[in-house]
Amino acid sequence: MSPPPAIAVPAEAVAAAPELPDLWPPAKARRGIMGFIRRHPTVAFGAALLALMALMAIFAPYLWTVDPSTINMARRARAPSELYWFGTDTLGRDIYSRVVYGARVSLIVGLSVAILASLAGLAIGLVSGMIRWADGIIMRAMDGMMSIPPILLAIALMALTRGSMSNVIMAITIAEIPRVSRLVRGVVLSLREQPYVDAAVAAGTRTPMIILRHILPNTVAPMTVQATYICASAMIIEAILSFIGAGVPPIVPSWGNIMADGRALWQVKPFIVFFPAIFLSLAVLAVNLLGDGMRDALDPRLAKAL
Amino acid sequence: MLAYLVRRILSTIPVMGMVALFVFSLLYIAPGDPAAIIAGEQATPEQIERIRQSLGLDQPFLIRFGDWLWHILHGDLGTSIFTGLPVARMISQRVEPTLSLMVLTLILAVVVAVPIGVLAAWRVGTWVDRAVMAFAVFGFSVPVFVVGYLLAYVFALELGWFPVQGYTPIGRGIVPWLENLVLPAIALGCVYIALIARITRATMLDVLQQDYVRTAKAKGLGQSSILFVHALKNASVPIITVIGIGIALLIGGAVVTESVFAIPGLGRLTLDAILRRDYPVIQGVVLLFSFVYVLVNLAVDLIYTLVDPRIRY
Repeated sequence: MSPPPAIAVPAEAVAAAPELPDLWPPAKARRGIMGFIRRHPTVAFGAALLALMALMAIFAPYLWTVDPSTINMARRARAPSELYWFGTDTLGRDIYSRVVYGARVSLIVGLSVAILASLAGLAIGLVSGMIRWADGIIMRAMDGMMSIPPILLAIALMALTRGSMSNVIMAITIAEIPRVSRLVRGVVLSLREQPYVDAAVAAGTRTPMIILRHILPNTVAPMTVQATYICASAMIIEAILSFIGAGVPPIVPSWGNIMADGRALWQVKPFIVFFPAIFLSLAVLAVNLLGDGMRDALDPRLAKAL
Repeated sequence: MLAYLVRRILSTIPVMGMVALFVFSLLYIAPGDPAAIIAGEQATPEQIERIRQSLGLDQPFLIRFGDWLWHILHGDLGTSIFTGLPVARMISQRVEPTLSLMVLTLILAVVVAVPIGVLAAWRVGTWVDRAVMAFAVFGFSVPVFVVGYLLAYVFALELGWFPVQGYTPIGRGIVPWLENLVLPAIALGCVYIALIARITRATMLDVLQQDYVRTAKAKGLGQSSILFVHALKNASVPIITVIGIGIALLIGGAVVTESVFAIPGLGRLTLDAILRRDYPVIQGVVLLFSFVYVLVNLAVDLIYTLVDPRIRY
């Protein structure tokens, strides 16, 4: 939109004319960061929260933290105080420092799983959607994998390996792949019936070029939304794995690990469980709000329904 | 119809086969030699080798898979490495608490989620709608163990309305059984309620714009009759679908909920098995849960034909 065009008006007309109501809201309300926040308050809140978490993860050493793995048996399970803001855990480690560093584990796992599962799912979905004979085999395999609840599948995979961050990422990624593949395959199958794809085939365009030019760009929007939700789900599964002792090693400060440590004592020292719980919930909430916002922006039809 | 029924039931066989293959591979590539574990620490290599042969562990993959499958089909899930008990018996001892928790959560979720979803669609755009949607976002974001600890802290520790932890078998009375399960069921149900409420609202919004709803209104039908008879019935297929798919959330969540509330069910069994690397038990539980999940979704497909006579196969 542009402001009304300037018209040359005689000076006396201006003086005589009654004061017009201001039909043009100030530019600030429509554009810029403030305008965005006013139009999409929840998305803005989610983005801000996530940015805050990311900053916290990056600058963890400078946020008045101490080494999150330092054990001190002399100050076990202390209540929050001026010295230990969130108290100490059962091994005397500073919970505030562990919670701040925990953001690193959660965000790295969430992001890595979202990226890896999207790429793998994209590849499998493309093959399944484009090559007819492979479709049946791949989709039966995916059906089988999808019949195992994701958390259970991740638990079973973690039982096979040592607890490490990369193994956790791999286990959750494998558990998430079938859903992405299904989504991509569905999109590819519907795109294949589009007239412009027929036209490209008729014009003699080779299959790789069709995929690159006509199929891939159309998978970006649904994949981005899906990746956000996968990120949120991966963060929850990571915490669950750590909480039940099948995740990253207990020495690593992850939110699930802190909660696992406080599990036995939670009735007398609830703060050990609650601080990481709050941060975990806020982080997942931030990612979910961002995902909802992207879904609304990228798919207006769905936005109206959900 | 009968032909469809048979075909649909048969179609679960390849899926279950895939699950079985997957779960078997898990045990196959699992570290540790079961023969060495069974033989004990003082065993000579010859003794271990003899046990390996008697267990058929020296056979190739496919033969071992076939063998294993044959045992599974006869109800033999193997023997626990840690306790030496049959896995099938260990599982059957733990089924009741988990089944109780899941059924109660399922009932609670449907009873709460469907009405609030309908309400949100009926009053779309108002504060009621926004409150339901806000709840849905929080339900998806707050992990089940966080809700669990929060509920246990407020309603069990502070207010003392419910027992903090534990489980009482249903055989010892409905009331103590229920008292122990109320908080876990609410905690486990949160994300499930969010899921069902969201789908209910979305489908109802769509259905409420249909001509037959306008006709129902025009002939003067009451609001509740329109909502719950005309509209909800037509919105039921996606809702039932999501209830079936959501069982996966329930299964995964049950493992965690049982750990928070110290319920001695299958989740607890899984946890102990992971800590002890008791692979046959892990395998058995995963297989059982997947089997239940496949059966539930089979049931969902069959329920379609009951709620919507237009669906004919």
